[in-house]
Amino acid sequence: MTSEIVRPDRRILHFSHIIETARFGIREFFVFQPPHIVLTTLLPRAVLQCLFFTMLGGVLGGAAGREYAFVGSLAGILPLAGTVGVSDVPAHDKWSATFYRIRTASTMQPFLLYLLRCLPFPVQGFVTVLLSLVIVAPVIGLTGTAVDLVPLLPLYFLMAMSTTAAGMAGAAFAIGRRADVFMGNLLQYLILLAGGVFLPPGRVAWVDAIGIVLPIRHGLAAVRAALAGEPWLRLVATEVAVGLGWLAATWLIVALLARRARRLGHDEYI
Amino acid sequence: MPSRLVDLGWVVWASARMQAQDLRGNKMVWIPTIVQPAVLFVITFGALAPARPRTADQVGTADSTSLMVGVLLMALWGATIWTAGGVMRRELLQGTLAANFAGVRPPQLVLLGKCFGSAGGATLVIVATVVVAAMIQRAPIRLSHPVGVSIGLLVAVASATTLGMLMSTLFVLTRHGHHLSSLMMYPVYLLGGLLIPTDVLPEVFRWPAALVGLRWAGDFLVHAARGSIDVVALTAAVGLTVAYLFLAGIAFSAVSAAARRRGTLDL
Repeated sequence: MTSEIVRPDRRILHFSHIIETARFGIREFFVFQPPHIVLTTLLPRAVLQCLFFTMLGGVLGGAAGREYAFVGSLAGILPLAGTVGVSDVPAHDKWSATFYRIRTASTMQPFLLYLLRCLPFPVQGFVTVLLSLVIVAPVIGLTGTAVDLVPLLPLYFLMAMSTTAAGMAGAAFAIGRRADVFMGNLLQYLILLAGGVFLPPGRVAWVDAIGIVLPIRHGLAAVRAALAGEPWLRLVATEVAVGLGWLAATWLIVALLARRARRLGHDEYI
Repeated sequence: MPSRLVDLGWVVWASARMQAQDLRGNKMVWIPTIVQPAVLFVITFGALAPARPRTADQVGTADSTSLMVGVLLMALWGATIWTAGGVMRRELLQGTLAANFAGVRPPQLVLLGKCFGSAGGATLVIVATVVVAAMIQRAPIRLSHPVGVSIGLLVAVASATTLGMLMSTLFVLTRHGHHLSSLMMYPVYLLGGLLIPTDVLPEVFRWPAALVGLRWAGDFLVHAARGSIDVVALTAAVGLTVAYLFLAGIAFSAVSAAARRRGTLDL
């Protein structure tokens, strides 16, 4: 075994490579989650989760609790795609033994490849938000709140992206430890706990401390501030910063994994 | 005859032990048994005890005892789906299903033992998690009738075991069983009366809770924790557990017969 790092020749990255990789990501998404599975399980599960937490909010906190939980649960379903679903992407490479093709690729950095393949997940998350808004609001009697939320939907898309960034970092970190699925679910529950989804900030100090670095927390605070007519742009900027932070963490983890794989000559995410 | 019974009991016990040991090395089991109940209890109890007083129309109907039992049973349902519900699917993936079916011991007993190992182990961990979460949150813990609570927990384990057998048999019919598992969690959370009382549901959606054994076990547990014994709830929980076992037996026979006929035991 040699300690010398073998670097593949880099070729010029064309826009067509990016488009083709993104297209591959979409095909990969639908191979592992065929349209009938998306329609019959993934989307209904998200809507049911939103409905459940909204109703639970009503049971525990009356009308105000129900409305608070509805606004939060719309964001609370984003990790189903953004952290749980995303963890499948590196897992597919692991189980298909295709990681060596990524680390020896001559045109595209592993991080960029990973990012492009994960693009369907924020879209899936945002679609579940739209569906839940349309279905849950009338069922639970919160149509007025749903109408107020329509102009704020771009904030939910922002949260879908920041959640996916966190999910990518978590999956990349955990894949070599055979904990990729665990990590996706753990992040999902951490966001449910400390993202301000169900439990308002300020109730439990240690929960608030965790929430500062998690996606959704600041974006959801921005949504609630906008609904209350308060300033919210600063909170949006914080959500963007948190998302970029997680993306930077992903880049670092993937770069280290690829470098170590080249150095040690193995073909796994270890 | 007695030695035959001992032999069959040993099959169940050995399968249960094997399943418990298998799950011990699976990090994913931490999610429904530790992470989910801990998070659910913290957020629901935190939402129940607001920083400022609420007006009359905002006061909910739950208290800490029903929250603890509800969170426990929700987590047990989730754990049942992910662990017991996946027993046969895992055997299929690991290539042991055909050997199990062709073995000298009845494969139903192996399934029963594995589902019992899953449900029993999960219940122990979930109870410990909920109690620790309640202590951290300084929630009042009531245990007025310890024997009743113990009986309620045993019935909940039995109910989860037989329900797990039924689901495990059905989930093996599709390649997308894990997606189906994920989908099945929330209908029971919503309509099962575990954490959301059925009286807040529209009338037409109240009946499904009557078919959920864990809901009756939950009613019994809440009453026992408060010091009374709810015989109706106990009878319903035991009756539904027997019904699940009966249905699981029928489903298992049908699925195994079809798989043998088509030669798809390993597919």
